This record gives sequence, structure tokens and C-alpha cells, in this order.
Amino acid sequence: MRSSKLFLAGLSLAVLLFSVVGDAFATDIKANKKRGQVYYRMVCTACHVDMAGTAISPAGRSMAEWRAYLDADKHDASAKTNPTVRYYLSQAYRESIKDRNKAAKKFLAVPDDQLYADVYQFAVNGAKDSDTPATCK
Amino acid sequence: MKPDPGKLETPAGLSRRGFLTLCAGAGAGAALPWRSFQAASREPQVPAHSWSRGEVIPSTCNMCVNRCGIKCHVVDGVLEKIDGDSRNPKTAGGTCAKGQAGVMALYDPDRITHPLIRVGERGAGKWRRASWEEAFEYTADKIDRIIEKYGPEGLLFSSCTDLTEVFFIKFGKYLGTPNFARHATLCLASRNVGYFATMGSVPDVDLANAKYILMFGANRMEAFELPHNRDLITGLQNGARLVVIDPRMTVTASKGKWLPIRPRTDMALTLALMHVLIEEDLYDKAFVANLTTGFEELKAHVAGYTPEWAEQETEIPARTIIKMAREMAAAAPAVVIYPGRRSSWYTNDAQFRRTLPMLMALLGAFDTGGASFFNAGKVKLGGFDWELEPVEVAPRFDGFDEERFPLAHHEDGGYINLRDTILNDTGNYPVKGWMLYKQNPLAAVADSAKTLRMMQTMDFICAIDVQPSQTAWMADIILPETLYLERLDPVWTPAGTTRYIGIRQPVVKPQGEAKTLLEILQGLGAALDQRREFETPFAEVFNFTMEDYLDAQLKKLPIDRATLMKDGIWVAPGPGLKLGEYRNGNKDFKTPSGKIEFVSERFRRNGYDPLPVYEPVTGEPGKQRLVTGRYAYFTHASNQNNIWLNAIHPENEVWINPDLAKEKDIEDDEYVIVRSRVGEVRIRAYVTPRIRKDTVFITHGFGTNSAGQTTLYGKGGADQALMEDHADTISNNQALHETFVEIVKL
Repeated sequence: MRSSKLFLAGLSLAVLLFSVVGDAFATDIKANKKRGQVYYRMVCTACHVDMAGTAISPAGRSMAEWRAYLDADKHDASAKTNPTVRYYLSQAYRESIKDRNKAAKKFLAVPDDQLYADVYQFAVNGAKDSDTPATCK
Repeated sequence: MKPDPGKLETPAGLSRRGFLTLCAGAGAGAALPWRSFQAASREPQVPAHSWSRGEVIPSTCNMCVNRCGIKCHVVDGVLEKIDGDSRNPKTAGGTCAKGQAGVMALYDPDRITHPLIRVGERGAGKWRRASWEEAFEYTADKIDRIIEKYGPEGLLFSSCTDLTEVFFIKFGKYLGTPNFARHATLCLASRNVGYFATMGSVPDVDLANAKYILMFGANRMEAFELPHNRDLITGLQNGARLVVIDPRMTVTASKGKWLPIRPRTDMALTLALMHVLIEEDLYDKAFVANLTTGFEELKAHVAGYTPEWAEQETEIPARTIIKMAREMAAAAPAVVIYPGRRSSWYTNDAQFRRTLPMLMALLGAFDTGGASFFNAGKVKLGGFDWELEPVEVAPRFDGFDEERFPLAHHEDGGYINLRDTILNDTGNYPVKGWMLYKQNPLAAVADSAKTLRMMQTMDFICAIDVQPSQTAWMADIILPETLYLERLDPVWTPAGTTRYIGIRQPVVKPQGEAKTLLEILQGLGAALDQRREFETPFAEVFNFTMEDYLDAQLKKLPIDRATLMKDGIWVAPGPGLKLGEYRNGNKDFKTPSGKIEFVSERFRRNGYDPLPVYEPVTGEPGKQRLVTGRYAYFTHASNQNNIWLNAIHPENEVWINPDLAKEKDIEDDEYVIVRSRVGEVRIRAYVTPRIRKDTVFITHGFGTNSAGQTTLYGKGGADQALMEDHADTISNNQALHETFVEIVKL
């Protein structure tokens, strides 16, 4: 019981820290929206189409929804896949798919925080209530 | 050189005498160097149609952007005739004068069929023929020098919409430039911005079943999109009421009620119509309640825009405006507020375009028969597995970005903005190389003298084209592309009510040494690979054939390339258009609220009026407002030099109201000078009551500077030489109807 409480407390702290740091990533690191776009479309979209049969368009959510989703860092509520979004942007994940995904291979050396900021900016800037809604492909 | 009449067979549909007359007349204006060059390089061959033998090959027209299905009659390797393809669900066997004149485009003696390198001053028309090997080396060397000196961002890529345009844009991206200029801001960018902000996209319309059709300026009967023309005729036959708002009585206006509005006051009319619908409680309350936001603000906003006020602005009687609103409400929801296509009219165009879907929404004229609708969706083509583009690229040179034009489509660029940036030297860095594909800015952009000055700032200009267009004539090298009848293009799928794909395929062998765009880019890429190391070598990027590309597109569809080439089209099984999805809540609009937005927070956030605000119009005493357009047999400035089409209308003219003509002592058919602040042209007068006295009209596409266009050269006046370079403030779409001119008797 105690360990569960500790775990939950730690998780909460991690989420809190991440939400702060996440915002910092989105603002302090100079994002490359083009790289975010390429990664989103060639990795995120490709996988979503393969696994779920449908893509998730940046314009399918509002800017606030994207920020909340990315800051919460929960990829899949069902927890059937790795639970964090950041995992799918990490070098470890890119390494695991580099042989079958050109974008993962090309951006292998990009630091995790940088790629996170790139995708973050692309998704938020392409949201349905943004100035320039974007499609997933 | 013009064709030698002694060697010509009579073209189908044109008498020999008429054809010879045309040849003699056109040849008189041609520059000697071009004629000499042409004489050494080709002879025309336009056969009469034998009707009885040969093969019929299905393909897709490219004489305008509409992509009608065609059947090409080929005898012994020679194209003799083009008909419409009755199996095509979009065009159902129809083809227009332009489509049939594709034969003449193929065998046009002015076609460029070998690479040409300029040897004289720009525009002097002195060229020498080059081999492809030399042309690739020459072009690669020029590009390499620009990259060396200015970086890849020192290159500007301009292109016009076409199935192969993707290759050209990809080429620029792999080179590493962020600077592209596409067709949108010469045409419909303001319409797109207005509709996207209001309802998320531009809808299609059900003209065949409409009871009331309102068109602002759109000249459907003389424009692209054959299905709309056919549907409009069907609608009229079914009793639809057509009202056309235009300072000029177009052919379309002649088919219905013409309301000769004072130019630039269209928004006053739409605001007043909304006023009446709300004031008289005629709007669709259920639709407004369920599918829109911001109604109360709209109601307050239009309260002061009364019909009586609008009469003062538009010169359309208040009683007519009231009657229109009532008639539309009675016909609703089977009402089409036509979105239009070319919306490059005024500096407030995006805001005016917003009022069209707003009016539509008040009438509930969406997602039901006889109204506007979002189409059934295109067939999902497979994607091609491109190599990754560079992502570390410079920002655009011209500041056409989120800060200065937040709601524009930034990758398309804005011609007025970019030209000013170059001429005023206010860019982030210099741009010194201009690559053009099927784009003709010298004819397409207002104030051609400015465009010429911009071209003179360039170290290098390369035009990929099929003919010596106005812009190609000023280039340093012209790389001849195959015509649409000589090449295989990517598969395409149209918007509309039927989901299908079509193919454009070669029906004859290329004339001369013309190459496909893909072949040109492969050759040029190979030459560039020899000079420097790119992130991904061009040899890898373009290491595929067009057949490979098509196979990737067709990969997930139950049809193969060979079958598609045999049949010409493939219609996707299953239901096509399904109406009612928005009305029953199954679909949301692609707007922030998911509904049609009368009030645009996106506009407000960026400093634009969230509801369209009318700006009073001022004229210039003693001058007329210039408006432009075209006739049914021409596309932009691309086929006025076609011998068959030019025979229909050899020379353009300026439309002048009889009262104005009387004041200026001008008679019909006499030549006059039309003068603006930026230029003047000599042009024939057409005195007609079909235009308002405060407005003159000039057909686009004449007055060419290219002596290489030997049929057209020396004929008519160029509207773009007169137009000042105004632009819509939100989209940077050029505003072609903001120029005042004076008419001077010679």
C-alpha cells in the first residue's frame, strides 16, 4: 500500500514536473516545425494508420487539447501500448524502428527534448483553432 | 517561322483560306531571330481528321485545369481529333473549344521542342539550340553558382497547378530552398481564406437542383469546370432563378437576371441581404441554432446595413435587394450562393468572401439538395515513398510567414509581396535565381513593368514550358516539356459527387526532343550531383519512373496501371455523395467551434475584423475602374497563341459603355489608348451597353511581349500592363480590380 502511495506521489510529481518542463521545452528550445511535421507524418501517422487504421490529424484537436495531451504525456489511455508520448519521440524508440522508418533513421541523433519541442510546435500550430490547421499527411 | 502554307494540310474545322490569312497576319509581327530559328527546327503538321481508322486512346485534358476526360483519335502515330469521353462521370462526354484545340497545341509551330539558350539581351529573342546535355550542364552550373554565393535559399521556385507540379516543388525542397511561389495568390487565395475561416473549407454546389442561384462575378458559362456549366444549364431548364451580380453583362449574366453593381460594393449587397433575412425573420432558425455560432453578434452587426443604405453603395434598388432576399428565403434551402473561383478582385476580398457562406448559412442552404455541400471525398491514392526532404532550411526571404500574413498559406507564397521584397531589397537575404515551371508571372501578375524589373535583378532565370510564353521569352534558358498528349502523368482524383480516378497518358510520341518534367529534373539533378553534395543525392531522390509512381498510387486500389490506361478512368464502388451528415450531427465543420462561424475569433486574434465591415468606395473623377476576365476559349494567358483558338478571337478589346464612348467621341471598333498610373496599351474599342459607364473591361492574355508567339504577337493590349499591384490585405491575393484608367481617343 505504502509503495503504491509512493508510486502515485512520485507519478504526480513527475507529471507536475513534466508539465512545467514540457512547457519549458515548448518555449525555451527553438523548435523546428518542419522536422516536427516530418516526424509526425512519417512516424506518428504511419503507425496510427497501421495499428489503428486511421490517422490523427493535428486539426482534429484544439490547441488547448494538444497542450493538455502532450503535457500529460499519456499516449494511450488503455495502456496497451507504451503509456508515454515521449517514448515514441525518444531516441530509444527511433533506434527500434530505424530500419523500417526513414524519419526515425534520419532524426536518430536529434535529442529527445528537441524532437519533442518540434512535434509539440507542429501539433499545436496545426490545431483546429490555430491560424494554420494542418492535416496528418 | 510561321508554317509554310504550301506544306500544310487544312486543319480540321478551319478553312484553308482562313488559316492562310491567319498565318500571313501573324507572321508579320514575328521577330526575325525567332523566325529564323524556327524555320531551321520544325515544320507543322496538322492533319485533317479521317474519322474511319486508327485507334482511340482515353486520357485527360490539360488545356485548362479542369481535367476533363477525353478520347484521342490517333492515326499512324498522328493525333487527328480530340473528343469528350462519355464514360467520364465528371464531364460526361463534353469537351470545349479549348479541349478540341489540343490538337493544334500539339502541332503548334511555335512550340519549343529543343532546349534554347539565350544569346542576346534578355527579351531580345536571340536564342541558340542546345543539346539536353549542354542544357543540363548550363542550368546546373548557374544553380550551383547561386548556391555557392547565396545558399540554396537564393533560389525561387514558381509553378502552376498541375499533376506533375509535385516533382518540381520536391526538386526545390531537396535543393534546400524555402522560397516557393504558387498559383494561389494570382487566383483564389482570398476566397480560400474567407471560406476556411467561416466554414472550414470551400464547398461544392448542386446547381442542377437549385431553385435560386446567386453568382457574384463568376462567369460560369465562359469558365472552367464543365460539370458546373452543364449543371447550371440543367438547373435553368428546371426553372432555377439565376441572378448575376457583375458590372459587366457576361454570357452567364445573359442567361438570368443581370444586376450591374457598382464595382467593389458587393459586400454592401451581401450585408444588406443578411439584414433583410434577419429583419424579416426569414432565416433558417433551426440551421442557425444547430450549425452556426455568433448569430447575435451578426444580427447586431448587420442592423445598420439596410437595403436603402446598400442602394446608395451598390446602385441596386433597395426594393430589388428586398425582393432578392425574399425570393431566396422562399427557395431555401435549395439556394446556391456560388463561391466563385478567381477571387483576385479587391483589397478586402477575403472579408467579402466570408459573407458568402454567412449568407448561405442564414438560408440553411447547405448539406441538402440544390444547395452547397462538401463533396464525397476523393479516392484514397497510395503515397509515394519519397526520400526525406531537408528540414534545416532558412526562413522565407520575403517574410511571408505567420507574423506578417498569419492566415495565408505560407508555402504558396504571395507574388505581390515577394516582388516588392525583391525590388525594394527588403528581404531577409537576396534571391537571385528563378526557376519557373508552367508559370507565367509576366502575364499573370499585375503591373508587368514591375515584374520585368524584378526579372532583371535575377542572375539566372530558367523556364520549363511548352511554348515561348511572355516569361519564358525573358528567361536565360528554356527547357521544353512534353505536352500533356505526349506524357504519362500521376493519377488524379477529383473533388465532386462521384469518386473516381483518371489517367493522363501519352497518345503520340513527343515532338522534337521535348522531355517530361520528371526526365528534366532527373537530368538536371544528375548534373547538380556532379557539382556538390546534397543531403540526399538527386540520383536517389528521383530514382524512379513515372510508372513506378503510378504503381505506388494504385497500390491499394483494385485496379492496375494497364487496365487504367486502357479504360481511362476507374469509378470507385460504393455510395458517392451522402447529404445530411452535418445536419444530423455526424460531422463537424473544420472550424475551431466545429460550426459555421459568423464571428471569426481567428480573424479577431490576428487584428482583422471578426465580422466583415464594409469599406466605402471611392472612385477617381474622369476615370473608369478596370476589370478583367476572359472568354470561354482561353485559359489564363496560355492558349491565345493557339492558331485554332486565336481564329475564334484574334484580338482583345476594351469594353466601353456607349455613354462614355459618346462623351469621348469613340466609335465601335476604333483603336484607343487605355492608360493607368503604371502603363498604357493601344487596343480596339468595343462599345456596348453590356458594361457600366464607370467600368471598362479588358480580356486577359493578349498584348504579348513574346515575339515567339507568332500568332498572337502584335495583337491587342495586356491588361496586366495597366494594373496596379494591389493585394488583399489578409491573403496577399492580388487585387486586379482596383485600378482606374482613362480612355484616350487616338
